[in-house]
Amino acid sequence: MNTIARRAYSTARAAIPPTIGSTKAIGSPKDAARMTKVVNFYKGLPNGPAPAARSSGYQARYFDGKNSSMTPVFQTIAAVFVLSYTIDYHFHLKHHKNVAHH
Amino acid sequence: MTTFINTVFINNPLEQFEIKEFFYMGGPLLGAKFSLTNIGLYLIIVTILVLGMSYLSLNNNKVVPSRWSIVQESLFGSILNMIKSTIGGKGEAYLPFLYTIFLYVLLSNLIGLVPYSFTPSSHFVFGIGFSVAILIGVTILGFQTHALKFFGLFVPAGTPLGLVPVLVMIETISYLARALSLGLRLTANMIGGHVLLKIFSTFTWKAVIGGPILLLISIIPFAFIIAFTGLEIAIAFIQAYVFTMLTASYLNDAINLH
Repeated sequence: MNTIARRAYSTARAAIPPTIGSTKAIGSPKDAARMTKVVNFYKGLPNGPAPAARSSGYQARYFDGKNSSMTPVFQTIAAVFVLSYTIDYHFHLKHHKNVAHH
Repeated sequence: MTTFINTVFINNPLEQFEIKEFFYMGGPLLGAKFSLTNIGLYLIIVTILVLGMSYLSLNNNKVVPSRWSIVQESLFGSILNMIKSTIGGKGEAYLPFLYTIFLYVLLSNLIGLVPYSFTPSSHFVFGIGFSVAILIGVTILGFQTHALKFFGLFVPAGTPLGLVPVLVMIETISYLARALSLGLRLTANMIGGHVLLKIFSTFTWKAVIGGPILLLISIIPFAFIIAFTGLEIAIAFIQAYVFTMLTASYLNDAINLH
């Protein structure tokens, strides 16, 4: 079992109430201890809606969650266009500035 | 004279595929020469785009996907489905390989559709380089999985004994021809599409500068250019998918022996 799975398992165990075989066993010190653990676990959970991730940067602006948009595609096309035009101008087009073709 | 050349002379439509050298490092080391050419540059850009797209659409590992992760997930899902239908359960181990090939070929095809840019997949070194490497890999995999039984691939089931030598020869040739046909299909499609677009746009431009009547008529070829560009985008996707699907079917031959 890898670390993440093991951690998830141990967390889950803290959240599961103890199995009680008979009604008499309720309140036995062992189970009571475990019940406190369970109660504490649920008390410790954050309340209310999850806070929005406050991240900035390119990824947060154009890719994450509801911000995801087509903008990066257009930016890529524009960038490739500018780069390609520069290359083409340097290797080819500048020779045609004054002469049509030679 | 200039006007005459301007109207009559047509640029070579194959000029766009020219390899240009940006810089090179030559050295006394075994006469080796390391150079960056335009195909190299565009392949580097494609690699950055593939990695960047995959990394940026992680959406902070959240379960609910963003639109970008939906794009990635549906690409992933369609490749996975294709593998399941061609190879079966055993083939899922090759999902990363086929997924990478698909994205890489797709973006190599698409980047060439940006005006003034260069299509890496329009060079035989790209297509055939890939397909030869795939065939060698698949053959090694076949021998690793089945040892000498791999040769059973060259004898279809239920062949009369007399026909076996002939069929083995034919099957061997057809097996080896895959190395060429897989890459050739992709490259020829890319070259064809780009040459067509270039020729059409040259003619349209000549019509646009040819006078008021021709300018009016040039709307028709211009509409064709737009339609062909749409077709080229579709072909970029289709060819990338076909390339991946055939790779999967070659893998299937090596893993399941027909």
